[in-house]
Amino acid sequence: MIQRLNLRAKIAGGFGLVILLFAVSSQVSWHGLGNMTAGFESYRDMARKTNICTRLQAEALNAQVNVKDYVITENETHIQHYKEHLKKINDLIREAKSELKNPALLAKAAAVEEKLNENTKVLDAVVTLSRQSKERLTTAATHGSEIEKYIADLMSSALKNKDQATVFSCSQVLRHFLLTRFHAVKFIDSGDQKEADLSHAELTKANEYLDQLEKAADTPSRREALTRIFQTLKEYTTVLESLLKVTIDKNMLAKDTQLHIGDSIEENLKDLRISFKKEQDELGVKLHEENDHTLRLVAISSTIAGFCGIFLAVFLSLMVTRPIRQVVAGMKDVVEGEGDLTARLKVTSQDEVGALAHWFNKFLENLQEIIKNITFDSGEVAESSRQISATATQLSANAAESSTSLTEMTTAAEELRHTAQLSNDKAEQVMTRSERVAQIADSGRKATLEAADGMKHIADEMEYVAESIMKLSEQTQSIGEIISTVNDLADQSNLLSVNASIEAAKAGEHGKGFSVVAQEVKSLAERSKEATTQVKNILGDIQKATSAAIMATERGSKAVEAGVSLSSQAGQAIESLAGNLAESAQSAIQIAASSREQLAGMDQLSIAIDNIKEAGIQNVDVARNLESAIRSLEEMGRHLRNLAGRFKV
Amino acid sequence: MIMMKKFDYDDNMDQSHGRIWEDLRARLRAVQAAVLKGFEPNPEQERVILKERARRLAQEMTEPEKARDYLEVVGFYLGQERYAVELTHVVEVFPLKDLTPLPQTPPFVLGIFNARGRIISVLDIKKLIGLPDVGLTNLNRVIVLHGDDMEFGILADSIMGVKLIPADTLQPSLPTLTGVKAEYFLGVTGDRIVVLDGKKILTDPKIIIHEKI
Repeated sequence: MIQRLNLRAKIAGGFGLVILLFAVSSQVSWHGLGNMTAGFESYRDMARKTNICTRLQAEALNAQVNVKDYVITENETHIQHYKEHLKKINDLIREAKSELKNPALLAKAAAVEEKLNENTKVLDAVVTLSRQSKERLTTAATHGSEIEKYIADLMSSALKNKDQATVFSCSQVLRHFLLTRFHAVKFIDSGDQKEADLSHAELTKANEYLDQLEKAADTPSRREALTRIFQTLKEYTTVLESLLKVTIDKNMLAKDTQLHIGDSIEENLKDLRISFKKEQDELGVKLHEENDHTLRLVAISSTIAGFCGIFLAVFLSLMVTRPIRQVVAGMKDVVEGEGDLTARLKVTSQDEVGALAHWFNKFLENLQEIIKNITFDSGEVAESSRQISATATQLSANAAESSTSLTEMTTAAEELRHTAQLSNDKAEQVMTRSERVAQIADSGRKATLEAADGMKHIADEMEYVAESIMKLSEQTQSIGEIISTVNDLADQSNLLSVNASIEAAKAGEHGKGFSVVAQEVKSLAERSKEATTQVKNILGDIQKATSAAIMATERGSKAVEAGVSLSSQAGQAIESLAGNLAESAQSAIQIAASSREQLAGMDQLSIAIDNIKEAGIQNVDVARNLESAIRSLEEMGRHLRNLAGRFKV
Repeated sequence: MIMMKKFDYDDNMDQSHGRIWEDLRARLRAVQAAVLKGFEPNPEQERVILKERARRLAQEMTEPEKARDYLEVVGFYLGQERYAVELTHVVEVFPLKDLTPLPQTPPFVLGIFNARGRIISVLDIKKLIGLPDVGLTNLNRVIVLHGDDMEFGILADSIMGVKLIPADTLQPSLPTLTGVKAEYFLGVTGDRIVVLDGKKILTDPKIIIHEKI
């Protein structure tokens, strides 16, 4: 049955069994450990409870000590300490209550708490009483001192009066009063009832002597003093009595308190602690037994698991390795049988090893077939490689030839590139020049514009010149008028001179001198006339010159007009020239760009040709390599046939 | 290159223009200076004038024929001919203005005109003494003559002025002149001035016109 299972199932089954055994053993251990942990938990709880009880006891003792201290010293700081301890005790009791579950124990804790509260009340009462007694003691001391002073005054006044009887009485009163105070103090200090009785007796005696003094008193001042003493003494007596009473009460209460704290708390706590201890002891023994049981269980289960594991390991290894060894032996037979591919393995089992043997047999079959084919094909490979070798030789020759052609092509490309370079340079020159020419054309255009402006200016100036000449002409006309006036004047002067001569002649000898003057005037008039004639001639000349100037100006204006139109024509011509230049510059730029591109293309072409050349050279090398490779291939074919021949098929 | 040429041309133009204008300006300045100086003669002219004056004064002083008999006349032009009339008959000379023609008068009476408030009749001396007209003349001067009871003006083209004619240079009138003409002439001087006989003209009965219409 086991023989029919495959290897995987066998191994998985074995390991599964071992894991199951270990799981059982771990479960047992887990259970035991859980029980132990629970036991330890309750043990720890017990210990904590005991601890609380111990702390309670200690706090109670501390409180008691404080109370005692207070009763002895009556110092209030002890009360403060007591209160603090009391608070701690209360906290602990509350904690214990939350921890405790047993009703009997709870009742005990409650009793402790109650007792404590009672004690606290009594203590508060004691404290109140003690304060009262202190207050009264102070009052009594004041009254006492007053009374002593009054008696001393009375004594001194009696001494002055030499009243012997009064002095004696006073001294007696003083003595007994002092004794009263002494015994009262002693009582307060010791609490002895005998001292209180003695104090009362002394006070009574003092009162007796005072009564005697009152009887003996004869003067009003003395009577008044005595009255005062009585009054004060009465107050003192009242105070003293209440003081004594308070002291007795206080002492009673103090004793009571000490007793209470001492017993009840202690007892209750002890009970609690003993009960906890008992529980703890019982629990310890039980825990120990449980632990032993658990240890035994774990030891047994792990031992069983170990033995089962060892058995399974040995059995499984035997099961797996036996068939594999059989297969290995079969393979060894096939390999060592001098390449006998006809041998086959025996198939004994149906598991993976059986499958291995079966598929190994199949592999041997295939191998046999392949070796047969190789033997046949290697012959064909040798034939083909001979043919390829011939082709490779041809290829090598072709590559060399193409390399030569490429060299020629490189030269041609270089020339072409040179030409492109030249055309690029020229195009750039043209571009540069056309830019310069464009600048010149621009300046020429500006110049023509300026010339047109200048011409206009000249035309304006011409008009101004014509205007000026016209003005001049008009001026000459007015000069002519003036001249004709001057001519008239000269005529008239001439006539005047004639008349003057006539008059002078009529005057005879007396008019002789006047006749000379008239002669002079006449000659002047003639000269004026001559001058005017000259001026007239000059004016005529001026008139002619003016006409000529006006004509010239007119011609000038016409020339200027022609100049303006010419300059505008020149401007237009330059404008169109500049346009053409811009276009040609644009063309030159395009030519330059395209020739640059051409140059770049030529560079790339020459690089490409170089690359092709390189590739051609490499091709030659490769063809040679191919030849040698084919030779080695042939060799390898032969070798392969030899190898295949080693197998028997 | 083109620009360079242009600049050269411009420079030349500028230079020639500059020269012309410089020249013109210089001349203008000279003219202006002359105009400003105006009527002030320059030192040379002044000297010439002074010399002339000195020469003439010297001639006056060396006049030798003071003692000779002179005829004082007023000379005038009628066309191209020169005439003179004795000063003793001449009152005044006027420019001819506002001549008012008188109707119904003989041809030699041209009209009347206002000489400082006096109405004076104007005669054409040529027509009066029967001389031929020689083309157009100015006839814009009036020489007022006066005798004992007669005053009129004769027209002249222009006045030469008062002249001293030595009596011995006066030659008798031409023998070719006959009739009326000859009796109005005193004689002809050496420089062909015809001296009219003022007295004769003034006392000529022809000129007294009394006509009733």
